[in-house]
Amino acid sequence: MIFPRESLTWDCYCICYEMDVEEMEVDGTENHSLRNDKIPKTLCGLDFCFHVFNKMYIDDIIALEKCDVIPGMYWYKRHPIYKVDIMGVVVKRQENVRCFIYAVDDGTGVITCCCWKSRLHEQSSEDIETTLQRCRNLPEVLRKKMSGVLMSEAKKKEGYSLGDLVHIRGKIKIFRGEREVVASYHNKLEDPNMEIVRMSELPILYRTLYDMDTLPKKVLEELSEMSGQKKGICHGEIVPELKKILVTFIEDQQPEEISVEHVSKIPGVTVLLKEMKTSEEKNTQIQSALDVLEGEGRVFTKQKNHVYGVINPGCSMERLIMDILKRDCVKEKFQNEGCHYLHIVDEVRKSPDYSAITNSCVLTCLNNLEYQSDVIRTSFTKYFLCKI
Amino acid sequence: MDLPKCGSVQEISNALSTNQGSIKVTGRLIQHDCINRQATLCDPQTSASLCVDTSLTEPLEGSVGSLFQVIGEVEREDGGDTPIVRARIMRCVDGMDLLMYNRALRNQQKYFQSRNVTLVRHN
Repeated sequence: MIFPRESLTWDCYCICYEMDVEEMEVDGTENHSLRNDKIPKTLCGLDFCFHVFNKMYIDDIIALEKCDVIPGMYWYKRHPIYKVDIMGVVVKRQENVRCFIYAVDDGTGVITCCCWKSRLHEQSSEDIETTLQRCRNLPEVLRKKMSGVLMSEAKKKEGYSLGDLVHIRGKIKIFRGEREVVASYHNKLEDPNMEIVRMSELPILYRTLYDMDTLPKKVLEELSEMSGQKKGICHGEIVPELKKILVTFIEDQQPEEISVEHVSKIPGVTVLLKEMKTSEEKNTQIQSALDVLEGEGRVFTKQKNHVYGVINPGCSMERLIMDILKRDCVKEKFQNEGCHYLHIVDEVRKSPDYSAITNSCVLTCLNNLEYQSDVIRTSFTKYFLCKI
Repeated sequence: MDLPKCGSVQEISNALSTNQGSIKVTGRLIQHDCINRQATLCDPQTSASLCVDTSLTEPLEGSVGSLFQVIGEVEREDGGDTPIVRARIMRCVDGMDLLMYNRALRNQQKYFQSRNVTLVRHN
Protein backbone atom coordinates (compact mmCIF):
# COMPACT_ATOMS: atom_id res chain seq x y z
CA MET A 1 0.00 0.00 0.00
CA ILE A 2 1.37 3.35 -0.98
CA PHE A 3 0.94 6.21 1.46
CA PRO A 4 0.51 9.53 -0.28
CA ARG A 5 2.70 12.33 0.95
CA GLU A 6 0.39 15.29 1.13
CA SER A 7 -3.24 15.79 2.05
CA LEU A 8 -4.07 16.79 -1.52
CA THR A 9 -3.04 13.44 -2.89
CA TRP A 10 -5.00 11.76 -0.12
CA ASP A 11 -8.24 13.22 -1.54
CA CYS A 12 -7.61 11.84 -4.97
CA TYR A 13 -6.49 8.56 -3.48
CA CYS A 14 -9.90 8.29 -1.84
CA ILE A 15 -11.62 9.13 -5.11
CA CYS A 16 -9.67 6.47 -6.98
CA TYR A 17 -10.52 3.92 -4.31
CA GLU A 18 -14.23 4.80 -4.52
CA MET A 19 -14.13 4.37 -8.26
CA ASP A 20 -12.74 0.87 -8.09
CA VAL A 21 -15.26 -0.22 -5.50
CA GLU A 22 -18.44 0.87 -7.27
CA GLU A 23 -18.30 -0.22 -10.85
CA MET A 24 -21.15 1.86 -12.17
CA GLU A 25 -22.53 0.93 -15.53
CA VAL A 26 -24.21 3.59 -17.60
CA ASP A 27 -27.76 2.50 -18.28
CA GLY A 28 -28.41 3.94 -21.68
CA THR A 29 -31.71 2.21 -22.28
CA GLU A 30 -33.70 4.32 -19.79
CA ASN A 31 -34.10 7.65 -21.50
CA HIS A 32 -34.11 6.53 -25.08
CA SER A 33 -37.62 7.71 -25.86
CA LEU A 34 -37.22 11.12 -24.19
CA ARG A 35 -33.73 11.77 -25.48
CA ASN A 36 -34.66 14.45 -27.97
CA ASP A 37 -36.95 16.56 -25.82
CA LYS A 38 -35.41 19.47 -23.98
CA ILE A 39 -36.65 20.98 -20.73
CA PRO A 40 -38.86 24.01 -21.42
CA LYS A 41 -37.28 27.42 -20.91
CA THR A 42 -39.17 28.23 -17.72
CA LEU A 43 -37.94 25.11 -15.94
CA CYS A 44 -34.26 25.46 -16.80
CA GLY A 45 -33.60 27.10 -13.46
CA LEU A 46 -34.55 23.90 -11.65
CA ASP A 47 -31.52 22.16 -13.02
CA PHE A 48 -28.36 22.47 -10.92
CA CYS A 49 -26.22 22.71 -14.07
CA PHE A 50 -27.76 26.10 -14.79
CA HIS A 51 -26.33 27.61 -11.62
CA VAL A 52 -22.94 25.98 -11.29
CA PHE A 53 -19.55 26.12 -13.02
CA ASN A 54 -19.71 22.68 -14.59
CA LYS A 55 -16.57 20.57 -14.56
CA MET A 56 -16.49 19.01 -17.99
CA TYR A 57 -14.19 17.56 -20.62
CA ILE A 58 -13.13 20.14 -23.16
CA ASP A 59 -14.18 17.74 -25.91
CA ASP A 60 -17.73 17.89 -24.59
CA ILE A 61 -17.70 21.65 -24.25
CA ILE A 62 -16.79 22.00 -27.90
CA ALA A 63 -19.52 19.56 -28.87
CA LEU A 64 -22.28 21.21 -26.81
CA GLU A 65 -25.50 21.89 -28.67
CA LYS A 66 -26.67 25.48 -28.83
CA CYS A 67 -29.98 26.38 -27.24
CA ASP A 68 -32.37 28.27 -29.55
CA VAL A 69 -34.64 29.55 -26.84
CA ILE A 70 -32.15 31.12 -24.43
CA PRO A 71 -29.15 32.98 -25.88
CA GLY A 72 -25.85 31.96 -24.33
CA MET A 73 -27.17 28.61 -23.17
CA TYR A 74 -25.96 25.24 -24.37
CA TRP A 75 -27.31 21.74 -23.89
CA TYR A 76 -25.41 18.74 -22.65
CA LYS A 77 -27.87 15.87 -23.00
CA ARG A 78 -30.78 17.48 -21.15
CA HIS A 79 -28.86 19.86 -18.93
CA PRO A 80 -28.67 23.58 -19.67
CA ILE A 81 -25.07 24.76 -19.33
CA TYR A 82 -23.52 28.16 -19.70
CA LYS A 83 -20.67 28.19 -17.19
CA VAL A 84 -17.80 25.71 -17.17
CA ASP A 85 -14.79 24.83 -15.08
CA ILE A 86 -11.76 23.44 -16.90
CA MET A 87 -8.29 22.41 -15.90
CA GLY A 88 -5.58 21.89 -18.45
CA VAL A 89 -2.19 22.74 -19.84
CA VAL A 90 -1.57 26.00 -21.69
CA VAL A 91 -0.51 25.06 -25.22
CA LYS A 92 -0.76 28.43 -26.89
CA ARG A 93 -0.36 31.90 -25.48
CA GLN A 94 -1.22 35.23 -27.00
CA GLU A 95 -1.01 38.58 -25.28
CA ASN A 96 -3.20 41.49 -26.36
CA VAL A 97 -3.47 44.97 -24.93
CA ARG A 98 -6.44 44.18 -22.73
CA CYS A 99 -6.40 40.41 -22.37
CA PHE A 100 -4.50 37.18 -22.60
CA ILE A 101 -5.71 34.42 -24.87
CA TYR A 102 -4.63 30.92 -23.94
CA ALA A 103 -5.38 27.64 -25.66
CA VAL A 104 -5.97 25.04 -22.95
CA ASP A 105 -5.58 21.31 -23.53
CA ASP A 106 -6.85 18.78 -21.01
CA GLY A 107 -6.17 15.60 -22.98
CA THR A 108 -9.59 15.42 -24.63
CA GLY A 109 -9.69 18.68 -26.53
CA VAL A 110 -8.34 22.20 -26.91
CA ILE A 111 -10.31 25.39 -26.32
CA THR A 112 -9.35 29.05 -26.22
CA CYS A 113 -9.74 30.96 -23.01
CA CYS A 114 -9.78 34.71 -22.70
CA CYS A 115 -8.40 36.15 -19.46
CA TRP A 116 -9.01 39.87 -19.12
CA LYS A 117 -6.20 41.92 -17.65
CA SER A 118 -6.84 43.74 -14.41
CA ARG A 119 -7.35 47.47 -14.90
CA LEU A 120 -5.51 48.15 -11.63
CA HIS A 121 -2.31 46.74 -13.06
CA GLU A 122 -2.47 49.19 -15.93
CA GLN A 123 -2.70 52.14 -13.60
CA SER A 124 -0.15 51.32 -10.90
CA SER A 125 3.26 51.73 -12.42
CA GLU A 126 5.14 51.69 -9.14
CA ASP A 127 8.04 49.37 -8.75
CA ILE A 128 8.15 46.72 -6.05
CA GLU A 129 11.14 48.38 -4.43
CA THR A 130 9.53 51.80 -4.17
CA THR A 131 6.44 50.30 -2.53
CA LEU A 132 8.61 48.39 -0.09
CA GLN A 133 10.51 51.58 0.68
CA ARG A 134 7.28 53.22 1.63
CA CYS A 135 6.47 50.41 4.05
CA ARG A 136 9.74 50.65 5.94
CA ASN A 137 7.87 51.41 9.14
CA LEU A 138 5.96 48.17 9.18
CA PRO A 139 7.11 45.25 11.30
CA GLU A 140 9.29 42.62 9.64
CA VAL A 141 6.58 39.99 9.27
CA LEU A 142 4.24 42.36 7.49
CA ARG A 143 6.98 43.57 5.20
CA LYS A 144 7.72 40.00 4.13
CA LYS A 145 4.01 39.43 3.54
CA MET A 146 3.85 42.64 1.52
CA SER A 147 6.75 41.64 -0.71
CA GLY A 148 5.16 38.21 -1.19
CA VAL A 149 1.88 39.77 -2.26
CA LEU A 150 3.63 42.20 -4.62
CA MET A 151 5.61 39.34 -6.21
CA SER A 152 2.51 37.26 -6.82
CA GLU A 153 0.73 40.27 -8.33
CA ALA A 154 3.67 40.89 -10.63
CA LYS A 155 3.52 37.27 -11.72
CA LYS A 156 -0.18 37.57 -12.45
CA LYS A 157 0.56 40.59 -14.60
CA GLU A 158 2.91 38.56 -16.78
CA GLY A 159 0.35 35.86 -17.38
CA TYR A 160 0.86 32.14 -17.66
CA SER A 161 3.48 30.54 -19.87
CA LEU A 162 3.36 27.50 -22.13
CA GLY A 163 3.13 24.29 -20.18
CA ASP A 164 1.51 25.71 -17.06
CA LEU A 165 -1.33 23.79 -15.49
CA VAL A 166 -4.20 26.26 -15.19
CA HIS A 167 -7.62 26.14 -13.62
CA ILE A 168 -10.17 28.31 -15.40
CA ARG A 169 -13.81 29.00 -14.64
CA GLY A 170 -15.96 31.04 -16.95
CA LYS A 171 -18.81 31.41 -19.38
CA ILE A 172 -18.96 29.93 -22.85
CA LYS A 173 -19.09 32.57 -25.54
CA ILE A 174 -18.71 32.60 -29.29
CA PHE A 175 -15.96 34.87 -30.55
CA ARG A 176 -15.37 35.21 -34.27
CA GLY A 177 -17.28 32.06 -34.98
CA GLU A 178 -15.42 29.84 -32.48
CA ARG A 179 -16.40 28.74 -29.04
CA GLU A 180 -14.28 30.10 -26.21
CA VAL A 181 -14.36 30.39 -22.46
CA VAL A 182 -14.23 33.89 -21.03
CA ALA A 183 -12.57 33.43 -17.67
CA SER A 184 -14.05 34.96 -14.56
CA TYR A 185 -11.58 33.04 -12.40
CA HIS A 186 -8.19 31.74 -13.47
CA ASN A 187 -5.28 30.41 -11.51
CA LYS A 188 -2.05 28.56 -12.08
CA LEU A 189 -1.73 25.28 -10.22
CA GLU A 190 1.67 24.43 -8.85
CA ASP A 191 0.81 20.90 -7.73
CA PRO A 192 0.68 18.48 -10.69
CA ASN A 193 -1.47 16.10 -8.67
CA MET A 194 -4.45 18.43 -9.11
CA GLU A 195 -4.62 17.15 -12.65
CA ILE A 196 -5.03 13.64 -11.28
CA VAL A 197 -7.79 14.82 -8.92
CA ARG A 198 -9.67 16.32 -11.84
CA MET A 199 -9.15 13.24 -14.01
CA SER A 200 -10.59 11.03 -11.27
CA GLU A 201 -13.51 13.35 -10.48
CA LEU A 202 -14.80 13.76 -14.00
CA PRO A 203 -15.97 10.21 -14.84
CA ILE A 204 -17.84 10.07 -11.52
CA LEU A 205 -19.49 13.43 -12.16
CA TYR A 206 -20.51 12.38 -15.61
CA ARG A 207 -21.94 9.06 -14.55
CA THR A 208 -23.85 10.38 -11.56
CA LEU A 209 -24.88 13.84 -12.72
CA TYR A 210 -24.47 14.81 -16.35
CA ASP A 211 -25.64 11.60 -17.90
CA MET A 212 -28.64 11.45 -15.59
CA ASP A 213 -31.70 13.69 -15.67
CA THR A 214 -32.35 16.13 -12.86
CA LEU A 215 -36.12 16.01 -12.98
CA PRO A 216 -37.85 12.76 -12.02
CA LYS A 217 -38.96 10.47 -14.80
CA LYS A 218 -42.69 11.07 -14.32
CA VAL A 219 -42.29 14.84 -14.55
CA LEU A 220 -40.35 14.48 -17.78
CA GLU A 221 -43.01 12.22 -19.26
CA GLU A 222 -45.72 14.73 -18.39
CA LEU A 223 -43.69 17.54 -19.91
CA SER A 224 -43.18 15.68 -23.16
CA GLU A 225 -46.92 14.91 -23.31
CA MET A 226 -47.81 18.53 -22.68
CA SER A 227 -45.40 19.86 -25.24
CA GLY A 228 -46.92 17.45 -27.75
CA GLN A 229 -50.39 18.87 -27.10
CA LYS A 230 -49.75 22.57 -27.01
CA LYS A 231 -47.33 22.57 -29.92
CA GLY A 232 -44.60 24.65 -28.44
CA ILE A 233 -46.49 26.87 -26.00
CA CYS A 234 -46.72 25.33 -22.58
CA HIS A 235 -49.22 26.36 -19.98
CA GLY A 236 -46.99 28.76 -18.11
CA GLU A 237 -46.10 30.71 -21.22
CA ILE A 238 -49.59 31.81 -22.28
CA VAL A 239 -49.81 34.77 -19.91
CA PRO A 240 -46.45 36.31 -20.95
CA GLU A 241 -47.44 35.91 -24.63
CA LEU A 242 -50.80 37.55 -23.94
CA LYS A 243 -49.03 40.36 -22.16
CA LYS A 244 -46.79 40.98 -25.17
CA ILE A 245 -49.80 41.12 -27.49
CA LEU A 246 -51.58 43.54 -25.13
CA VAL A 247 -48.58 45.83 -24.88
CA THR A 248 -48.26 46.10 -28.68
CA PHE A 249 -52.01 46.69 -28.94
CA ILE A 250 -51.89 49.47 -26.33
CA GLU A 251 -48.92 51.13 -27.98
CA ASP A 252 -50.46 50.99 -31.46
CA GLN A 253 -54.03 51.95 -30.74
CA GLN A 254 -53.68 53.93 -27.48
CA PRO A 255 -57.18 53.24 -26.22
CA GLU A 256 -58.52 55.05 -23.19
CA GLU A 257 -60.13 51.98 -21.74
CA ILE A 258 -59.74 48.30 -22.17
CA SER A 259 -61.97 45.46 -21.05
CA VAL A 260 -61.75 41.69 -21.02
CA GLU A 261 -64.27 41.31 -23.89
CA HIS A 262 -62.38 43.88 -25.88
CA VAL A 263 -59.15 41.94 -25.40
CA SER A 264 -60.65 38.62 -26.42
CA LYS A 265 -61.58 40.16 -29.78
CA ILE A 266 -57.98 41.13 -30.68
CA PRO A 267 -56.91 38.81 -33.54
CA GLY A 268 -53.62 37.72 -31.96
CA VAL A 269 -55.36 36.75 -28.74
CA THR A 270 -58.03 34.64 -30.48
CA VAL A 271 -55.30 32.65 -32.20
CA LEU A 272 -53.42 32.11 -28.94
CA LEU A 273 -56.42 31.05 -26.94
CA LYS A 274 -58.27 29.04 -29.55
CA GLU A 275 -57.21 25.78 -27.97
CA MET A 276 -59.03 26.64 -24.78
CA LYS A 277 -62.52 25.26 -24.68
CA THR A 278 -64.46 27.42 -22.26
CA SER A 279 -64.65 31.19 -22.40
CA GLU A 280 -64.16 31.21 -18.62
CA GLU A 281 -60.67 29.78 -19.01
CA LYS A 282 -59.90 32.35 -21.67
CA ASN A 283 -61.16 35.15 -19.46
CA THR A 284 -59.06 34.02 -16.50
CA GLN A 285 -55.95 34.04 -18.67
CA ILE A 286 -56.76 37.51 -19.98
CA GLN A 287 -57.47 38.67 -16.45
CA SER A 288 -54.07 37.41 -15.25
CA ALA A 289 -52.31 39.17 -18.13
CA LEU A 290 -54.12 42.40 -17.26
CA ASP A 291 -53.16 41.97 -13.61
CA VAL A 292 -49.53 41.64 -14.60
CA LEU A 293 -49.84 44.84 -16.61
CA GLU A 294 -51.42 46.57 -13.64
CA GLY A 295 -48.48 45.51 -11.51
CA GLU A 296 -46.17 47.05 -14.07
CA GLY A 297 -48.14 50.27 -14.17
CA ARG A 298 -49.63 50.19 -17.62
CA VAL A 299 -53.32 49.87 -16.74
CA PHE A 300 -55.46 50.50 -13.70
CA THR A 301 -58.84 49.20 -12.59
CA LYS A 302 -61.69 51.64 -12.91
CA GLN A 303 -64.79 51.81 -10.77
CA LYS A 304 -66.82 49.59 -13.11
CA ASN A 305 -65.93 45.91 -13.02
CA HIS A 306 -63.59 44.39 -15.56
CA VAL A 307 -62.83 47.67 -17.22
CA TYR A 308 -59.28 48.88 -17.12
CA GLY A 309 -58.09 52.37 -17.86
CA VAL A 310 -54.89 52.59 -19.87
CA ILE A 311 -52.04 54.92 -19.00
CA ASN A 312 -51.03 56.58 -22.24
CA PRO A 313 -49.19 59.78 -22.88
CA GLY A 314 -51.93 62.39 -22.75
CA CYS A 315 -54.40 60.60 -20.50
CA SER A 316 -56.59 62.34 -17.96
CA MET A 317 -54.45 61.35 -14.97
CA GLU A 318 -51.66 63.48 -16.40
CA ARG A 319 -53.84 66.58 -16.14
CA LEU A 320 -54.67 65.65 -12.56
CA ILE A 321 -51.00 65.22 -11.65
CA MET A 322 -50.09 68.52 -13.31
CA ASP A 323 -52.80 70.26 -11.28
CA ILE A 324 -51.51 68.67 -8.06
CA LEU A 325 -47.96 69.72 -8.83
CA LYS A 326 -48.99 73.28 -9.78
CA ARG A 327 -50.79 73.56 -6.51
CA ASP A 328 -48.05 72.07 -4.35
CA CYS A 329 -44.81 73.24 -5.90
CA VAL A 330 -45.44 76.79 -4.79
CA LYS A 331 -45.83 75.72 -1.17
CA GLU A 332 -42.83 76.29 1.03
CA LYS A 333 -42.43 72.64 1.91
CA PHE A 334 -41.94 71.60 -1.69
CA GLN A 335 -40.30 74.67 -3.11
CA ASN A 336 -36.73 73.40 -2.91
CA GLU A 337 -36.78 69.86 -4.13
CA GLY A 338 -40.26 69.15 -5.38
CA CYS A 339 -42.89 66.63 -4.32
CA HIS A 340 -42.07 63.11 -3.29
CA TYR A 341 -43.83 60.67 -5.60
CA LEU A 342 -45.67 59.00 -2.74
CA HIS A 343 -47.16 62.37 -1.83
CA ILE A 344 -48.37 62.66 -5.42
CA VAL A 345 -49.84 59.14 -5.16
CA ASP A 346 -51.73 60.14 -2.00
CA GLU A 347 -53.14 63.22 -3.68
CA VAL A 348 -54.18 61.26 -6.77
CA ARG A 349 -55.94 58.71 -4.62
CA LYS A 350 -58.04 61.48 -3.06
CA SER A 351 -59.94 61.91 -6.32
CA PRO A 352 -62.85 59.46 -6.78
CA ASP A 353 -61.79 58.14 -10.20
CA TYR A 354 -58.41 56.92 -9.10
CA SER A 355 -59.04 55.82 -5.55
CA ALA A 356 -57.37 52.42 -5.91
CA ILE A 357 -54.51 53.32 -8.17
CA THR A 358 -51.18 51.56 -7.74
CA ASN A 359 -47.84 53.31 -7.19
CA SER A 360 -46.45 51.91 -10.42
CA CYS A 361 -49.30 53.46 -12.45
CA VAL A 362 -48.56 56.89 -11.05
CA LEU A 363 -44.86 56.36 -11.74
CA THR A 364 -45.56 55.41 -15.38
CA CYS A 365 -47.64 58.56 -15.72
CA LEU A 366 -44.88 60.68 -14.19
CA ASN A 367 -42.38 59.07 -16.58
CA ASN A 368 -44.57 59.98 -19.53
CA LEU A 369 -44.77 63.58 -18.26
CA GLU A 370 -40.99 63.63 -17.92
CA TYR A 371 -40.59 62.49 -21.52
CA GLN A 372 -42.85 65.32 -22.58
CA SER A 373 -40.67 67.72 -20.53
CA ASP A 374 -43.52 68.83 -18.32
CA VAL A 375 -41.90 67.73 -15.06
CA ILE A 376 -38.34 67.31 -13.85
CA ARG A 377 -37.17 64.50 -11.63
CA THR A 378 -34.97 66.33 -9.15
CA SER A 379 -33.88 63.28 -7.23
CA PHE A 380 -34.60 59.59 -7.28
CA THR A 381 -38.04 60.05 -5.73
CA LYS A 382 -38.94 63.72 -6.12
CA TYR A 383 -40.58 65.53 -8.99
CA PHE A 384 -40.87 69.21 -9.82
CA LEU A 385 -42.76 71.18 -12.41
CA CYS A 386 -40.91 72.59 -15.38
CA LYS A 387 -42.82 75.81 -15.64
CA ILE A 388 -44.99 77.27 -12.93
CA MET B 1 -7.68 30.99 -34.73
CA ASP B 2 -5.60 27.94 -35.47
CA LEU B 3 -5.55 25.86 -32.41
CA PRO B 4 -2.91 23.21 -31.92
CA LYS B 5 -4.30 19.70 -31.92
CA CYS B 6 -5.32 18.15 -28.65
CA GLY B 7 -2.80 15.72 -27.21
CA SER B 8 -4.61 12.52 -26.27
CA VAL B 9 -3.19 11.11 -23.07
CA GLN B 10 -1.31 7.86 -23.49
CA GLU B 11 1.22 5.68 -21.78
CA ILE B 12 4.63 5.36 -23.33
CA SER B 13 4.07 1.75 -24.29
CA ASN B 14 0.97 2.75 -26.28
CA ALA B 15 2.71 5.74 -27.78
CA LEU B 16 5.35 3.46 -29.27
CA SER B 17 2.68 1.74 -31.31
CA THR B 18 0.55 4.73 -32.45
CA ASN B 19 1.09 5.91 -35.95
CA GLN B 20 0.48 9.59 -35.97
CA GLY B 21 -1.24 12.37 -34.15
CA SER B 22 -0.75 14.45 -31.06
CA ILE B 23 -0.14 12.74 -27.76
CA LYS B 24 0.63 13.54 -24.19
CA VAL B 25 3.01 11.21 -22.34
CA THR B 26 4.50 11.27 -18.88
CA GLY B 27 7.84 9.79 -18.02
CA ARG B 28 11.18 10.23 -16.37
CA LEU B 29 13.92 12.07 -18.23
CA ILE B 30 16.86 9.68 -18.54
CA GLN B 31 18.93 11.55 -21.06
CA HIS B 32 19.00 15.08 -22.36
CA ASP B 33 21.29 16.25 -25.13
CA CYS B 34 21.01 20.04 -25.46
CA ILE B 35 23.22 20.30 -28.53
CA ASN B 36 21.40 17.73 -30.62
CA ARG B 37 18.10 18.63 -28.96
CA GLN B 38 17.21 15.05 -28.15
CA ALA B 39 15.90 13.57 -24.94
CA THR B 40 14.79 10.16 -23.77
CA LEU B 41 11.77 9.62 -21.61
CA CYS B 42 11.26 6.42 -19.68
CA ASP B 43 8.22 4.94 -18.00
CA PRO B 44 9.34 3.98 -14.47
CA GLN B 45 7.06 0.94 -14.25
CA THR B 46 7.33 -0.69 -17.63
CA SER B 47 10.74 0.82 -18.44
CA ALA B 48 9.69 1.48 -22.01
CA SER B 49 11.52 4.44 -23.41
CA LEU B 50 10.66 7.05 -25.98
CA CYS B 51 12.75 9.51 -27.95
CA VAL B 52 11.77 13.15 -27.81
CA ASP B 53 12.85 15.94 -30.12
CA THR B 54 13.09 19.05 -28.02
CA SER B 55 13.90 21.68 -30.67
CA LEU B 56 10.82 23.71 -29.79
CA THR B 57 11.18 23.52 -26.06
CA GLU B 58 14.84 24.27 -25.36
CA PRO B 59 16.11 25.38 -22.86
CA LEU B 60 14.59 22.87 -20.51
CA GLU B 61 13.76 23.69 -16.93
CA GLY B 62 14.54 20.78 -14.73
CA SER B 63 17.23 18.18 -14.99
CA VAL B 64 17.76 14.56 -15.84
CA GLY B 65 15.89 12.35 -13.40
CA SER B 66 12.77 14.53 -13.11
CA LEU B 67 9.35 13.51 -14.26
CA PHE B 68 8.25 15.26 -17.42
CA GLN B 69 5.01 15.48 -19.33
CA VAL B 70 5.41 15.93 -23.07
CA ILE B 71 2.72 17.11 -25.49
CA GLY B 72 3.64 16.75 -29.12
CA GLU B 73 3.26 14.98 -32.43
CA VAL B 74 4.43 11.42 -33.01
CA GLU B 75 6.50 10.98 -36.11
CA ARG B 76 8.20 7.96 -37.50
CA GLU B 77 11.75 8.34 -38.66
CA ASP B 78 12.66 7.22 -42.18
CA GLY B 79 13.42 3.74 -40.88
CA GLY B 80 9.84 3.31 -39.77
CA ASP B 81 10.52 1.55 -36.49
CA THR B 82 11.36 4.05 -33.84
CA PRO B 83 8.82 6.74 -33.25
CA ILE B 84 9.98 10.15 -32.14
CA VAL B 85 7.88 12.78 -30.45
CA ARG B 86 8.29 16.38 -31.60
CA ALA B 87 7.62 18.08 -28.30
CA ARG B 88 5.61 21.28 -28.31
CA ILE B 89 5.28 21.43 -24.54
CA MET B 90 7.62 19.92 -21.95
CA ARG B 91 6.30 20.26 -18.46
CA CYS B 92 8.11 19.27 -15.28
CA VAL B 93 5.71 17.33 -13.05
CA ASP B 94 7.96 16.38 -10.15
CA GLY B 95 5.85 15.26 -7.25
CA MET B 96 3.13 13.71 -9.36
CA ASP B 97 2.05 10.32 -8.15
CA LEU B 98 2.43 8.14 -11.26
CA LEU B 99 0.56 5.15 -9.93
CA MET B 100 -2.44 7.34 -9.17
CA TYR B 101 -2.09 8.99 -12.55
CA ASN B 102 -2.17 5.69 -14.39
CA ARG B 103 -5.15 4.55 -12.38
CA ALA B 104 -7.06 7.76 -13.09
CA LEU B 105 -6.13 7.44 -16.74
CA ARG B 106 -7.47 3.91 -16.92
CA ASN B 107 -10.73 4.95 -15.28
CA GLN B 108 -11.10 7.79 -17.73
CA GLN B 109 -10.52 5.47 -20.67
CA LYS B 110 -13.03 3.00 -19.25
CA TYR B 111 -15.60 5.76 -19.04
CA PHE B 112 -14.98 6.85 -22.63
CA GLN B 113 -15.28 3.29 -23.83
CA SER B 114 -18.62 2.87 -22.05
CA ARG B 115 -19.78 6.10 -23.73
CA ASN B 116 -18.92 4.75 -27.14
CA VAL B 117 -20.74 1.55 -26.34
CA THR B 118 -23.99 3.38 -25.55
CA LEU B 119 -23.68 5.40 -28.74
CA VAL B 120 -23.33 2.24 -30.76
CA ARG B 121 -26.35 0.71 -29.02
CA HIS B 122 -28.61 3.55 -30.10
CA ASN B 123 -27.35 3.61 -33.63
